[in-house]
Amino acid sequence: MKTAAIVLLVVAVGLAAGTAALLLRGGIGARVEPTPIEKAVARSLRRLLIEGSARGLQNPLPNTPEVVHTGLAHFADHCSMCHANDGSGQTAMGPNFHPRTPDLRSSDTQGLTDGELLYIIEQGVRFTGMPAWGDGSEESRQASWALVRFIRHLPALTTAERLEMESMNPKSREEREEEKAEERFLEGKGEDRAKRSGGGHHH
Amino acid sequence: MKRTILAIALLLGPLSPALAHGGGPHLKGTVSVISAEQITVEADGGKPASAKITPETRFVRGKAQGKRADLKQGDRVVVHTRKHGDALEALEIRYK
Repeated sequence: MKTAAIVLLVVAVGLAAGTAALLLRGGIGARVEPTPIEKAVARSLRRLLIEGSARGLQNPLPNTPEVVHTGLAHFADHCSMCHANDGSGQTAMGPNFHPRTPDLRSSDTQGLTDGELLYIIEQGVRFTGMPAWGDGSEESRQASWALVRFIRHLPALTTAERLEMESMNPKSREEREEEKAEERFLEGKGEDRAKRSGGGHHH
Repeated sequence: MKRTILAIALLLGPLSPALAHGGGPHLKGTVSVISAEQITVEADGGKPASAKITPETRFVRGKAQGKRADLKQGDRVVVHTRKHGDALEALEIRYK
């Protein structure tokens, strides 16, 4: 009996040490790539820990161009800085989160139910960069349901829609001026000298 | 909700130059060489700069989707890039 307890203790300590070593390899930094095991466990836990009552919720907003556009505008203003306008997660910050910002067009996200998407938007996800956006108000909930409609639309996002979102993205004065300069350059106006304009965009 | 968004906007405001792009410089110039794998942009008075073309590279002609075959030597382009090791990858190539 005593021997069995000691064996169990040793196994438990070994498992804990192995898990800690896996999670903290390379220190506490976020650059280390999550292992497939970490990703699989995190995805499974995310689904398991979303409250069951939320999972089955149906989107009350109709799937109309107006609702999708409402979600598009909201996404461009609040979500694109991490998720990118096309949902790819390929932004300056997206690939540097731990875990990495997911591609919202992929089956991992599109396979979630509408209720699960709403839950993640409203409640956030602990130990990731995803904040809880919901404030408990009906206004917030309606905005989140419109986002769910837009997330479903992401795999079919058009170039025109993406360019429209760029005009809605939060930008600094420097970025807006650079956009105008690029537009003038492409039109062959104003700036004749072509250049590598990297100074303000090395991150 | 509005107060939360405002707080986040204020917090992230100083970082905003970093938010809209893919982490690399913008190459602005005329096309000197373009192939299936790479685009080289000639900057007037500067060194030529190259970026890899990948399956994810987007071609945008004006406000519409374009394609690599639209481009030829001498065309004005703006290439939005991201760093990949020591190399640059073209995220988006814009032209008229």
